[in-house]
Amino acid sequence: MNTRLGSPVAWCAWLALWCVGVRADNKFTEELLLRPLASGHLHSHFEFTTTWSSPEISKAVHNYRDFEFAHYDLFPRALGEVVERYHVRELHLSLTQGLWRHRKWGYPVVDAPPGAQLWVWFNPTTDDLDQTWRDLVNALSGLICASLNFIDSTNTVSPELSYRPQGVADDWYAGNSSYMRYAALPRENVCTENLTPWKKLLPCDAQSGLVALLHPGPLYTAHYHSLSLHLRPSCQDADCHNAQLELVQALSLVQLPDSSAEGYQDWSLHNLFLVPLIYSCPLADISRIYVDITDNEDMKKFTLEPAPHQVEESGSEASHRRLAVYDTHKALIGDPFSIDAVYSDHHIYGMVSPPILHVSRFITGYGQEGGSITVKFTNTGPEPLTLVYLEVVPWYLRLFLHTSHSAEQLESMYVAKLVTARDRELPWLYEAVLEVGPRTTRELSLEFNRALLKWLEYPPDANHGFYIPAATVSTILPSPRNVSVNSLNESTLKGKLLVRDGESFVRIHTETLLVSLPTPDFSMPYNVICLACTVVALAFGPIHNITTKKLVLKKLEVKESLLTRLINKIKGKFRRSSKVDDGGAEKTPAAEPVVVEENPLYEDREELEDIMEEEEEEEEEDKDSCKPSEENSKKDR
Amino acid sequence: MSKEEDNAKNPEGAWAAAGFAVVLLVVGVPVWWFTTTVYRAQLPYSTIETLSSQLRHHTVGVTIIGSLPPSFQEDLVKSLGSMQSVKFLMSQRQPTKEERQALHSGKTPDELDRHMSQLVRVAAGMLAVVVLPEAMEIKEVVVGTDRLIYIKPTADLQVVSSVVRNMVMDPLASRYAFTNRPLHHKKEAMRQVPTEPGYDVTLTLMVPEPHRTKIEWDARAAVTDYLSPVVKQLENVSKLTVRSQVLYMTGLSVSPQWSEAHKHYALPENQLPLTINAIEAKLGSFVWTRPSLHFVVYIPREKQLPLHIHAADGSPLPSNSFLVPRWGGVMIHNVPTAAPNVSLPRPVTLDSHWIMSTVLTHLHRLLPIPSLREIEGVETLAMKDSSMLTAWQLDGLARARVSAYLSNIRITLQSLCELVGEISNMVISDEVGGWVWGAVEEWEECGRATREGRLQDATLYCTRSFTQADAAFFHPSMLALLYFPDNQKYAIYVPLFLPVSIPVLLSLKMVFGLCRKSSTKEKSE
Repeated sequence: MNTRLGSPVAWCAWLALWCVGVRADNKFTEELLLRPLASGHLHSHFEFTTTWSSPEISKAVHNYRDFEFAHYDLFPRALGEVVERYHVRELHLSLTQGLWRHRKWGYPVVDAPPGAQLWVWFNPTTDDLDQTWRDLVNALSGLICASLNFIDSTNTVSPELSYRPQGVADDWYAGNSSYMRYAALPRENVCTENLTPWKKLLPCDAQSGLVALLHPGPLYTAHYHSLSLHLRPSCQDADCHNAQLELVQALSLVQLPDSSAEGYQDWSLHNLFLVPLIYSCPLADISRIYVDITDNEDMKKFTLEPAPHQVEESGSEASHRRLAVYDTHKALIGDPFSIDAVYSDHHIYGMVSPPILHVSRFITGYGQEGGSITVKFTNTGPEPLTLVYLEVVPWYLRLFLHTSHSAEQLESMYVAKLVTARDRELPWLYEAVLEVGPRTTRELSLEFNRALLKWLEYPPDANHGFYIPAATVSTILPSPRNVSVNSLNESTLKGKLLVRDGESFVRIHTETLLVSLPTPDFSMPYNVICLACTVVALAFGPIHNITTKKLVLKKLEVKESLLTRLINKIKGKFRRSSKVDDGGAEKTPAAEPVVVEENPLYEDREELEDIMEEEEEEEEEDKDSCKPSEENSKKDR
Repeated sequence: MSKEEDNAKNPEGAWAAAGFAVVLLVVGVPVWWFTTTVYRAQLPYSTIETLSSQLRHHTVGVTIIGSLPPSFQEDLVKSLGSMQSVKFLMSQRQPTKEERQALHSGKTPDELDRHMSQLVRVAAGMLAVVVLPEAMEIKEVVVGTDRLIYIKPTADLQVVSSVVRNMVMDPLASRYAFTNRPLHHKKEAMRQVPTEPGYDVTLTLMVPEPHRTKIEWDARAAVTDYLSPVVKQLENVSKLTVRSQVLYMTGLSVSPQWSEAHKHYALPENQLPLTINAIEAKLGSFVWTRPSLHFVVYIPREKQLPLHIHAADGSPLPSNSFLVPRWGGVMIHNVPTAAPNVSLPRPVTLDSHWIMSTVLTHLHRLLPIPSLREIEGVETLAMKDSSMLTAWQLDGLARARVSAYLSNIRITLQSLCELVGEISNMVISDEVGGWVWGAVEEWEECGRATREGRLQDATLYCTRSFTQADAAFFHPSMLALLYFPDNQKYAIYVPLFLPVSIPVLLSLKMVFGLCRKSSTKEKSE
């Protein structure tokens, strides 16, 4: 009440605060980097950054408490609620289609493995973290329409070194991997259904700004496509007194510009994305497009139309970078905006010099029993590299660690964390630190045995094989050559793109692997059931008969109707005459018709005859005595 | 020779047949039963069936302070007795000395109420009628902020009676709660939000043109000033979680017409249902399952300013807002049109008071909170801060919610039993069974508390019962086997059981023969 009616001084204070802008604590920037790659491809990287700073957030970050959001402005409420409820401190989600080829393309701004990848740092809470993680994964899969709900304990790990917090974190927290969970789903597909909810998290929606360029058609026909979401607490200032929350929504594409008949690599915004850029997002503080013109000394290689508003240079010598900067707020006055790059020469495909570190990973071995995962680390630099190698292998590949490492190998490596798998519960976690000498390739292989799965554990289309998630390799490179981003702490893409001399951290992901496990014939259980039932039924019939029935001779009833008697007579006559014709010596006279209740299993003729004799005797007795039947039974006893 | 004689001659066979039958019965049938049966915990079916017949009514104690003509009091009792869902316990006492002093000293109704409510303590769920001296110059019936009603001895009996009824429970809510079928045909009955222990209240500011208007509105201050006190008051009845958000670049998909007569754009009432469809996709929560109430403040586009909602008869609505039943409310906040040469985006300040009072009005109608606005000749004293609720309003709301809970829980439990009876494949785990038992127990406790007039206990029991009944009804484990087709069961067991059981059944004849024989033999001996 006081604040509403309050004193004029309070009113002035409020007004002053309002005039500064309610949005002062919420900031949104949109940036796009276009980078022609040496292989002739074009890499475009969109980055939308929303930052939110308030005293409460800063306090929550520093005290490792959950965020409590009540009044959302630019920050998406849908994500905010997830973060708030599930004690999230830092969240990184990526959905990727295709493989980033480090050898040809260098390092991307944000590296992501094929499929889905999620890693989250939680606040220390009293809740059961495994349950929280399960709930979070389900909430996220609803939010982003991906099948993240397939993440369970069999593909979740907590690596020690590879995924340290990227945001504000003290050492005690960053070093305690029990607060973090990492999972990857290599089989996950990315499509429009993920893009639409991702766009919905942006303050300008899909209406205006650079996001309007993201038309699904060209996006999903690209060679590489990666959608990601990164939430982290970051610093507002250098000494980090005030923390803020930073949400980066990034989208990376690698396309091959349509080199039509002429064979030039010409590209333009319009033919890359097929939609015109008409409006910039009015809510964005910064809305810029950068074109990497490092290789384009004095516009010899290609010319840019229109000319950039500004050219920024950073770095030195080998790691030098020049960026042409376009401010879309300035450029977009009325007409649609496009950037055209016109090449003066045909593109010459040739050898591309590889970056300092590249890794390849493959499966060796044959047959359906054993095999091994082999990784080749290549260091092309002049200095030795120490790297962290993280491998998460599902439980159905049973690793043999004792034969994987020779004593010689162990001299320059050690296993930092190893969690052995438990069937149907835990995956393998293998995290090793190893050294790769200058200009050498080091090979490491992990032998495994394939396990047999239960019938219902096979996925649909089991013969396709099982995907093994990508391995993660993290290292600190001595120089920023080929590295897109060497300062991860910056909030904007522009800040990240400035090359600073010195060491730079890279984390790259290898290829995913496809392993075929022995697959059973899935109709087998039904066949087995049917076959077993039939066999049991077939066996049961005779057994039942043998045990319950006795073979007896029985005289046919003489009481017959007139008609049947007549027919029998005719039949008998006919039969007799035919037998006479055959000349067969038939001993059983027709006048004594006896039917044998025969069991097919009774092949024993002697027994049969015995029984027949008995019967005959009895019959004679019957004839003689004509006693009541009860007597007979007594006799039998 | 007869068949019996056959059997008689083969007693071992008969014994063997009996053996087969016994093995089939003792081993086969249990194996089949335990491998195909659906697990079901024991449920209190009979108790649940009798829930509807149990007596449900609220008890409200009414104390009359002062003396009234005896006939008046009798008539009042009679008139109130006709209220189906509430039983009144009347009592009477004379005012104490202090009270009499207070009655005479108070000049204005407010002053009187302030003095009296300090002196007379009325327990939650009860009411007191204070008879005023005739000489006082105030309206005949005055309703205080606590649980007090002030009447003059000359007051109209019908007015007093209907005031008491309306204070006790919203008439619509009581009708809603005590009929067995939900009133789907009643437009007003559909307005009320489903009764649940908690709600998400979301304030959404929609700014379709952020490049033209820069909205300046401190949602945090507005919420703490206007909504938080009410939320705090309602805490015991239901938990409201208030959030606010701003949606940019999204507008209502409406096409208003320029109305020459009123010099503004007119949004006809029949277009309103279409408006929220477009924004619904951006309002949902992925985290909470409790029902949400959305209050949307819409800033019209520049070319549609000013925008007013028109009623069916073509006249503009004074509130310029509309209520969406069970969903929330939408209000259109017009901003002044921009001067021709102003630099964009231009700052616009919103009227917090107007927004929040509209939100509160909508909230009152959605919950619903009882009011006496429709009865003439009554003065209702409001809290000093107009947004706050009075004690009797909270009581009335709690009472209506208890009633709604009682009937909702009953319907939930009975539907559960019905479903379980109808669908044989439904699994009932021990956990679900436990919830159902708990819900029934708490329901009965709640009913007892209601009958005894313990309103707070009743709310507590009912909330717990509701949570359990809901958890049981919506538990995913119940659906685990729902789509397991019966023919698969047969497909597996028929090839085995059919060829085995036919000979066994046929041979049973033999066993019976043997039995008969032995019995007759015993007789003959």
